[in-house]
Formats: sequence, structure tokens, C-alpha cells
Amino acid sequence: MFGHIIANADALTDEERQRYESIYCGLCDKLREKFGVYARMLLSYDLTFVIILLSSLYDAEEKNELKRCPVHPAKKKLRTTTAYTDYAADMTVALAYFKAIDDWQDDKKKSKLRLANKLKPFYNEIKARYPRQCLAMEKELEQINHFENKDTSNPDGGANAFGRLLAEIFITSDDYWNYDLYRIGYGLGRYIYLADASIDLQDDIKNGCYNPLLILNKQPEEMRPFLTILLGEASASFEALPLEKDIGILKSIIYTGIWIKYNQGIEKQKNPKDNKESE
Amino acid sequence: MVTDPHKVLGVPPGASQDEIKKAYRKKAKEYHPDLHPNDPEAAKKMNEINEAYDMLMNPEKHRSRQEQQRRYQGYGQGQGQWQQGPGGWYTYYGDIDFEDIFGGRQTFNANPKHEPSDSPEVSSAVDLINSGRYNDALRILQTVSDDKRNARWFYLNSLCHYGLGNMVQAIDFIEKAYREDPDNQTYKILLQNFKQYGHTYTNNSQGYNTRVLGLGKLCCRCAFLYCLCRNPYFCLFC
Repeated sequence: MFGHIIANADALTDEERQRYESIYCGLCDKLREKFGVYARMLLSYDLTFVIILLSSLYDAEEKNELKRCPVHPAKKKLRTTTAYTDYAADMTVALAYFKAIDDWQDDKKKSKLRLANKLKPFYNEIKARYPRQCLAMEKELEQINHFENKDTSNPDGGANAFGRLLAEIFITSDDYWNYDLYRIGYGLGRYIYLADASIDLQDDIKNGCYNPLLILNKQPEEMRPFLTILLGEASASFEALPLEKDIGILKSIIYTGIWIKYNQGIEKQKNPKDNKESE
Repeated sequence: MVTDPHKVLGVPPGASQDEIKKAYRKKAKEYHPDLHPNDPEAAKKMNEINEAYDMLMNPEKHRSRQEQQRRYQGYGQGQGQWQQGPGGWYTYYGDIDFEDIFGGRQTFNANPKHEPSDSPEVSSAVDLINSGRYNDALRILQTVSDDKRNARWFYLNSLCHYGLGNMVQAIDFIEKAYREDPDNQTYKILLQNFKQYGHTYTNNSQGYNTRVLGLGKLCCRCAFLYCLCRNPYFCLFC
């Protein structure tokens, strides 16, 4: 789920890279402040993208602080927070809560159940603040479960559900930009679900698990044109938004960084495949 | 209703997209809601600026977008409230029309016609697709025997999935139809239309490497020294 929406550092200037990290650090700090020290483990670049996109679109005010961080003792680090950092922290924990439940249901690992129970009271607070997004998570995760376990004949089902889930997270208020923000979230969400499925194909075959690529009868690399089309929709809406601030970072995510995890996953599956007997 | 978007944004006719975006940002700063709380005039002006922006950036899509906007937001239209369905606001977006998402039916024809060679099942499917009953059409198409599953069968399946928002299957089926019958213009055009967003992406990503494998500059090449905050860009010693 996480790790796709990330920048390609080679496409960033040094200044952009530092800025990207300062927003990431800001989110880390906000997670600790709101949800405790261990919440820092939930930190992701994916939600950092949401902060940057929304802060740029809405011209949000920023706060910058130079502080020491226990994880980087060498020198003080810059932390940048905006109003959307708070929102992203809430969404991070809500998503982590559902991921823990999902993992517990899949693998029955006690550690995941413990995590879910720990996050539950936080989730309830977040749900009171953001009922729409949380209800979307509940509904769409149930849908994903349905397409992965009950009606397994529809390879688009899970992708569309995850797309809708992410789309709701990209919308924070009732305004003019909702249509484009929805399409960005929807495109990215569908991409993420199918990119994950592409990466997991060999493991899923080995473990006898559901995978949409098996229904489509496609190899992971063959998904690339489909994934490009799904990102194309997100890109069309992204280009329609009047984004100026941090546009370099945003583009390095949408047009190159987004492919890193998928490309790595394909590479990994290519090599063992050549040596294996066909399954 | 904005009649002169160039005037509203203060840009000359023929301004580039970047100039339009810059002009928008400048105007938006003047009328930012935080600077004018509870000011209906400022809110009205902001809406004009937004509309002018949309008219200039997306002239072809502006009209269909206006229709979609009316459905997805109430800002400045006197509605202001999201639908309170079961589960709060969620139902407002959850019932989105997928054809609109892809700007489907407004930009190309996805309505199949009857053909003399159609079997009764295929004929029913065509009628069902034209009535928007895609799941029913799919069910009927499933009853067609394997030996009769030709290019047209793939084409009709594609239209069903497109109607349902199942883009991966829609594309997959039309590709199969096109492979079976590459001379068919209808299949060719539909496939091109589906692939249009892929071309958009390829154009927009010119200069960016979509085959990138690494995360870029890693401090001291210490790829394995992931610090506790799981930041792959710098290790503990930065």
C-alpha cells in the first residue's frame, strides 16, 4: 500500500530534496506529538505527498523549526509543518489501523492484532473529525475484501475500491477543486493496487492467494501500459490544477518516483523467474 | 457566469498555461478566504477567478466539467452543503459516475449498433448496453459459447466494463477485439480513445525517467543503513 508515492531524488535539486525531507520530518514530529513516540514508525512519504499537494493548492501557511531529532544526532534538522500536516497525521494513523486489521486477518500475526487494538482509540477520535474519509476507508476496504475473497472474477474491483478510498483522502473541503483532486486520488489508488498486485504475483502464486493478474492472465511487466493509463487520468487532473509551489517535487513524484517500487518489484521477479521451472 | 476570463485573471489572450497558473495564484492570494473571512463579495470574486481559470485551462472540457462540478460541489452555487446520506458526506462522492470520470460519452461514442449477423444473445446484449444495464449485458454475453466468442464479443464485453468503470478489463477486451479484427475502425478508435490517457501521461512525463530503479542519491551509498525513521534518503550520520 505504502511506498509508491515517493519522489525520485535524482529528479530533485538539492534545495527541493531538503524541502521534501523537511516536510517529511514535519509529519514525523506531528505523528509523535499527536499519537506518541511509536506513531513515528507509521511515517510515510505517501502522506507527505498529500501535504505538499494540498498545501500548494491552498497556499497554506507554514511553520519552520530547526530542531534536534533523536534519530539524527549529528545536527539540527529543519521541520516544516502546515495545516495539512495535521490532517496527514490523522490519515496516516487511520490507514495504519485498517492495514493492521487487514494484516491480522491475512496472516493471523498477534503483533498486528496488538497494533490494531492500540490504534483503535486514536482511530475513533480521527473518525469523529473526518467521518467521510473514515467511512470511505471502512466501506472500500470491505469491498476489497469482497473482490479478493468472494467475487474473485473481477480484476478491477479491488483497484477501483482502493482508488475511491484514496480519492476521498485527497479531498478536504467542499470546493472547486474536488473533481480534480478526486481524479488524482482515484488514479493513484488504482495504480497502487495493481502495482502492488504486480509486485506480489510470484508470492501470491506460491501461497495460493488471490491476484488480479491471474484473472487477466498478465505478467507483471505487461501491466505497465495499463498502469500508465491509470496514472494518465491522475496526471490530467494534476496538470489542470494551478500548482506553483513545490511543483518540482510534485512532478518528480508523479512522473518518475511513482514507478520506483513497481520497477524494483519487476526486476526482482525477473531474475529468479529465469532460473525457475514454470509453475 | 464569467464572460471574459482573460480580464478576470489579468492575462492577455494567448497566454501560456504557466502564465495562466501564475496569474491565478496572484489573484487567489488577493482574495484568499483567510484574508476575507465571512465576506460574500470576496467569495464571489474567488469563484469567478476559479471559473475563469477553468475556462482558459480546459476550454473543451469546461462545459462538461461545469456539469460535473454542479454534481460534486456546492461552493458559490448557493448550495454549500454536501449531501447527508447514510454515513454522512461519503455518499456524495462514492456514487461518482465513471463515464464522467473518463469524460467518456461526451468525447466519443460508446453506444454499440445492431448488426445483421448478431445472434439473439448478442442482440440482447447490445440493447442492454445501450440502456446502461452493463451487468445484465455481461451475464448474457457469458452464455455465448466459446466458439462464437469473436472480435465483436470482445468489443461488447469491453463496452460493458467501460460502462462499469472497469478500465483494466475494458482495455484488455478491446485489445483482444482489435487483435482479432485489426481492420475494424470502430475497435481501433475505441482502443485509441482508451489509450488516450496513456499518451497524456507519456507527454506530460517527457524528460522524466519512468524506468527508474533506485531512489536516487543515498548518503554515502549506505543503502542498508535505514535510519529509524525509515528515510531512504539519508542515514544516521547526515
